[in-house]
Amino acid sequence: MEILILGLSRGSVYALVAVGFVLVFSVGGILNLAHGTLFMLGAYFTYIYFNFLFGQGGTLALLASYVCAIVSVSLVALLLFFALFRRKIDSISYVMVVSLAFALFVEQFMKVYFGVTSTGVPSLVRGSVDIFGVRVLNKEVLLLPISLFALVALHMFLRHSSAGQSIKAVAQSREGAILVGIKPDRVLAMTIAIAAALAALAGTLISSLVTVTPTVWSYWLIKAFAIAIVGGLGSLPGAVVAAFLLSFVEIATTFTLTDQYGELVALMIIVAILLFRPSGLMSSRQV
Amino acid sequence: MSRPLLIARRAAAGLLDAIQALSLVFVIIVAGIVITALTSSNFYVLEILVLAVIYMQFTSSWDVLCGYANQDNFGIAFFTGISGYIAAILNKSLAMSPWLTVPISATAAAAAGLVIGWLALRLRGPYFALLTIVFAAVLSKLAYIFSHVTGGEEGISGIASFSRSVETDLLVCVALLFISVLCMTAFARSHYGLILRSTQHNEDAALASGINAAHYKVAGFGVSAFFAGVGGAMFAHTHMQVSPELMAGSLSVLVVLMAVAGGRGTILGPVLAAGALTLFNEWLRIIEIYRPIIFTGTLIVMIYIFPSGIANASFFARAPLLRRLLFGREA
Repeated sequence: MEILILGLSRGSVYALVAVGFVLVFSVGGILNLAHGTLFMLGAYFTYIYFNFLFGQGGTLALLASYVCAIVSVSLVALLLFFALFRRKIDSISYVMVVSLAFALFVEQFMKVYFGVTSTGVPSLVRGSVDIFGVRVLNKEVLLLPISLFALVALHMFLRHSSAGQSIKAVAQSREGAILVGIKPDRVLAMTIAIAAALAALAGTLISSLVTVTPTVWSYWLIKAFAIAIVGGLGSLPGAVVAAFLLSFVEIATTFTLTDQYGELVALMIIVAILLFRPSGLMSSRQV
Repeated sequence: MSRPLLIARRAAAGLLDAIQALSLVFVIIVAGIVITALTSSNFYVLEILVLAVIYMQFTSSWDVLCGYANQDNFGIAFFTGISGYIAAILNKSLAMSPWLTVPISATAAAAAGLVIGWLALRLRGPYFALLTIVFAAVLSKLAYIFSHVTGGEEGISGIASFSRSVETDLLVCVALLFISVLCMTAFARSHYGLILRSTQHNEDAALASGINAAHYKVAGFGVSAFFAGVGGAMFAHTHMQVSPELMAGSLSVLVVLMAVAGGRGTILGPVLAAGALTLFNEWLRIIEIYRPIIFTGTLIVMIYIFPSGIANASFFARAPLLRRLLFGREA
C-alpha cells in the first residue's frame, strides 16, 4: 500500500518532467538536455522568491512565489531557445551539447551563489493523513492531484485550442504545418515554454519534499530521458505510463532492498529496454 | 605472406603515415612540455601540465570514435573510471607496478568498450546517447554499492605513482599521450576512420557497398575505450588516488564539451582545445570564486561561435597552411 501511494505521487512528478521533454522532442526533433536544469531552477526560483521577494510570508506568499517561479523558468527557457538553440536547430548534436553546457553553467552559478548544500522551502500544507492505514505526509498527497490536473490541462490545451492544434500539427508534419501557414519556430518556442513550465511546476512541488542541490539536475535529466525513451520518444501517453512504471519499480525495490539498489534496478531496466525494444513501449510519433 | 605479418606491416605503414601527417604545433607543444619537465622544478606548473595532458588524452580518445562516427558518447567516464579503478586495485592489492597496470587496465577498458560497442550497434542519436549515459551511471552506482572494494565516496588512495618525482611522471604521461595520439591518428587515417566517417553520412550506402559497418563501429569503440583507459590509468597513477569523480557524469560532459569546442573528427582539434581550456581554467584561479562560472560560460560562448568546433571553422578551411600546421595533414 505504501508502495502504491508513494509510487503514484512520485510517478506523477516524473510524468510532469518527462512529458515536457517528450513534447519538445516531438515538435522540434531536438533533445533539450537542460530540461533537468529547468526543473532545478523551478525549485531554486521558488526558494529565491519566497525568501527574498516575499520575505517568507504566509501561504499566499508561497503560492505567489510558485507562480512567479514557473513564469521565470519559462522565460529562461525562451531565452535559451532564442539565444542558443536557434543557431543550429537542425543539428540534434549541437543542441544536446549546447544545452549540456548551459546545464553545467547553471550548476556552477548556483554553487557559487547558493552553496553546495541543499536549500529547502516550507511546504504548502502540513501534517499527515491516514490513507488505508498508511500514514502519508499531506504534501506528498498533494502531488498527484496537482500533477494530474496539469496533465489533463495540457491534454485539453493540445486538443481544443488553436495554439495546441498548431503544436500537434508541427509534431505530425513540419512541412505540412508550414504549408497551412504555421510558423514552426514560433510553435517550437511556445512548446519549449510550456515544457519548461511543466518542469518548473514539478520543481516547485518537490522543493519542499526533497533536498535541492545544484547537482540535482543530472538525476532528473536521466529520469526524464529514460522515461521518454522507455515510453517511446514522441509519445505523450507512453511517457506518462512509463513515468508511473519507473517510479513503481524504484519505490518497490527501495522498499524490498536498499535505496542504492532501487536506482540500479531502474537503470538496468532502461538498458534492457534500450537493447530489446529501442522504440519504446508505445512507439509512435504522436502527441 | 602470413596474415599476422601482413597486419603488422600495415600497422607499421599506418604509423609511418601518421608520423608524416603529424601536426607541427602538436610536436612543438609536446617538446615544450618535455623541456619544462626537464628544466622547471615548479611543482604547481608541473601538476597543471599533468592535468592538461590527461584531459588531452580523454578528449582525443572521445574524438577517435565519436568525432568520426558522429555519435555522441556521453559516458566516456565509464572507460576512464573502470580503467582507473582497475589500475588502483591491481596496484594496491597485488602490488603491481604502473608499467603493468596501465596496459592491463587499458585492455580491460577496451574489452568493456567492445561489449558496449556491440550492444550499441543498433542505436543511433538520442538512443545511443542515453545508453552511454546509463552505462556510466550504472558503473558509478556499482562503485557505491561495492564500497568495500572501491572505497565508496572516498575512493582509493595511496596508489603508487609512475616514479618518485613529478618531473618524470609528466614525462611518462606526455610520452603516453604522444604515442596515443600517433596511434589514433593512424587509426583515423586508415580505412577504419574513412568507413566510420561514411557511416555518419550514409550508413545504408556503406552497407550496400559490402562494408560490414558493424565491425568498424565495434573496433572504433574498442580503440576509443582503450585510449580513454590509458588516460584513466594515467590519472590514477599521477594523482595517486581515484574517486567517484573519475566516473562521474560531469567528467563525461566536460570531455564532450571540450572535444566539441575543439572540433570533432580532427583529433588534434580536441587535443589542443583540451590543453588550452585546462590551462585557462587553472589561470582563472586568480579569481577563484567566479572561476567555474566563467569557465563554463566560456565553453558556451565557444560552442555558440563555432558550432562545429574551432578546427572545423570556415576560417581554417580558407587557410590550408595554417590547418596543416595546427591539425596535421589531411588525406
